Amino acid sequence: MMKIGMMSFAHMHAYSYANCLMTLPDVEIGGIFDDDPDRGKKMAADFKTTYYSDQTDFLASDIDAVIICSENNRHKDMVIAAAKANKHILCEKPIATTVADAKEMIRVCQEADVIFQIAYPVRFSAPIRALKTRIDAGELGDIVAFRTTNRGQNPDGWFIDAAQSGGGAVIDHTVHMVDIMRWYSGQEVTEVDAVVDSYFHNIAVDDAGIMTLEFANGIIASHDASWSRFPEYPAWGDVVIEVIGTKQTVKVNVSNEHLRHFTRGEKSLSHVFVGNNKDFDLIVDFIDCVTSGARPSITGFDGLKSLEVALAAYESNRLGKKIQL
Amino acid sequence: MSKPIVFMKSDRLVNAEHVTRDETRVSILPATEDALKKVNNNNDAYMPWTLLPTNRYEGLNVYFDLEAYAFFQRTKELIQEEADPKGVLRFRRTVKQHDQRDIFTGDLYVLLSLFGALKRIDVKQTHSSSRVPYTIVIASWKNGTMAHLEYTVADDERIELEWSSTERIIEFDSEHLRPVEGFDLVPSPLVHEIKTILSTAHKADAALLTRLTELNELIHGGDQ
Repeated sequence: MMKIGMMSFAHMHAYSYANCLMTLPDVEIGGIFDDDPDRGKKMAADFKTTYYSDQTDFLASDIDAVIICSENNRHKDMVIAAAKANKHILCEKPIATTVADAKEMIRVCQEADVIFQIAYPVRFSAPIRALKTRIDAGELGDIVAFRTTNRGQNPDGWFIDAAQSGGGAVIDHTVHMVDIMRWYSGQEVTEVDAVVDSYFHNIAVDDAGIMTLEFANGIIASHDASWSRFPEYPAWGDVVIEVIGTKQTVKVNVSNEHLRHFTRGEKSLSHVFVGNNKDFDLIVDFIDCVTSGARPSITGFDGLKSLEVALAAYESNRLGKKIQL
Repeated sequence: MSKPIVFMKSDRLVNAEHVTRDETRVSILPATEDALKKVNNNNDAYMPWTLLPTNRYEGLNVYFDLEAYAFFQRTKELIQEEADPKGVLRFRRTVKQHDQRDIFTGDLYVLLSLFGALKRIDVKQTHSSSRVPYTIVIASWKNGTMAHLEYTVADDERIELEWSSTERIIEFDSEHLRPVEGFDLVPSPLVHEIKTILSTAHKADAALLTRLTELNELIHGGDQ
C-alpha cells in the first residue's frame, strides 16, 4: 500500500487531489500536515487519516510521497524539507515565486534523488492530449503560432496577497498555457512582451494581463491570463489553445465539454462540465511514476521554464519593453 | 443633386432584398478604382477608406470595414454604456488577402475612436517566408484598455471578438452568426448594410488622410 501525505490544503486543488487518492486501490492518504490546525483537523477527519501539526513529525512518518498544496511562497521550504526526508513530491503550480527558489528546489530534489513533479492538470485533459498526438503525427504541419487563454474567477484569499502568491492572475494563469505550448512545440520562449493591470476586482495584485511570446524557432503566440470571469458567467472560466499550423489550424477549448443548464434565478445558464477528470489522471500519473521510479512526465524544469515566462511578463509590463529570456 | 453613391466590395453586399430597397435612395457601385472615376463634384460618395484619392475630398466620405458592421456598432454601444469603459479586448480577423496592412490600419483607426489615445503598441509577425502569415498586435490605451489584435489568412473570412470588463463580457464570432444551416452556399455573415455605412462614414479631409498615414507608419515602423 502506497502512502501519500498531503502538505497543506491552502490551495483548493488539494481537495480534488485528496478525493482522487481516496478512489485509488493500493493507495492511501498517510497523513495531513497543515499549519492551519482547524483546516488540517477537518481534512484529516473528512479523509479519515492522521493530522500532523508539526512538519518534521509528518515527514518522519512512513509516507512514500507528498502532495504540496500550500501558498506559493511556501512551496520552496516544503519541497526542500520533503526531499531531504526522501519523499517523492508532487507540487502545485507555480513551482515557486522566484526563479532562484525554483532552481534551488530542483537542485535539492536531484541531490536527494526523489521524483519532483509539477501539478499541471491541463496536460491530462483528453482533448489537449488528443491534439498533442495529432501534432506529433505531423497532421498540423509546422506550428506557426499559438493563441491561448486562461481566464477565470478571482480565487481571493492568499491568492491576492502578492507576498504569498508571487502575483495575481498572470502568474496563476500563465504557467498552465506556457507549459502546454512548450509541450506541443518542444521549444522554449525567448521573448515576452506584456501588458499587466488590475481593474476587475479592486485588489492589490494584477487581475488582467495579455502577452505576446516568441519561441526559439520563431513561433509566435498570444496569451490572455485574467480573473475576468464574474460569478454570473456560465462557467468558472476557460482554458483554450489554438494551434496554427502550416497544414491546418486546430482549436481546443477544454471547457467546451459541457451541458448547458438553464435555471430560474440570477444565474440562468450554467455550463456543467462533463469532460474527463484531469486531476485524477494527474494523480494516477504521479502514483505510476513513484511506483515505477520513472522520470515524471512534468518535471521541475518544466515548472521553472513556465515560471520564467510569467515573471518576465511582470518585468515587461514594469519596464514597458520586451524581455529576452 | 443625384442620389448618393455607395462603393461596396461585392462580398460585403447584404442580400438582394436589402440592395433593392437601398437602391431607392442610393446608387451602389463596386468598390474599384474604375468605378470611382464615375464620381463627380455633384455626387455625395461613400467609399472604403482605401479608395480615397489623395488629391480631392469634396463630397467624399470614407467608411471603415469594421465600423460598418452592425455587430460592431452594437458592441460599441454596449461598451460605451459603461462609465469607465476599459477592459481586455481580443480581436481576430481571418482574411483572404495576404497583405493585411490596410485592414489593420482601418481597424486601429476605429478602435482609437472608441478607446482614445494609445499608450503602447507592438506588432509581431511570423517570418515573411511563412506559408501561413500570422500577425499579433499587442496594444494598450491610455484609458487602461489592453488588446490583442490578430490577423491571419484563410479561404473564408471570419471575425472573432471578445471584450471583458468589470461590468460585462461580450463574445462574438462571425462563424456563429449563421442563422441558416444546411445549404452548401450559405452567405457570409460578414456583410454591410447601407444604413450603417451612411451613419458611420467620416467626411474626407486632409486631417483624416494625415491620421491614416500616421497609423500606417506606426504599424510599419513598429514600436510607438
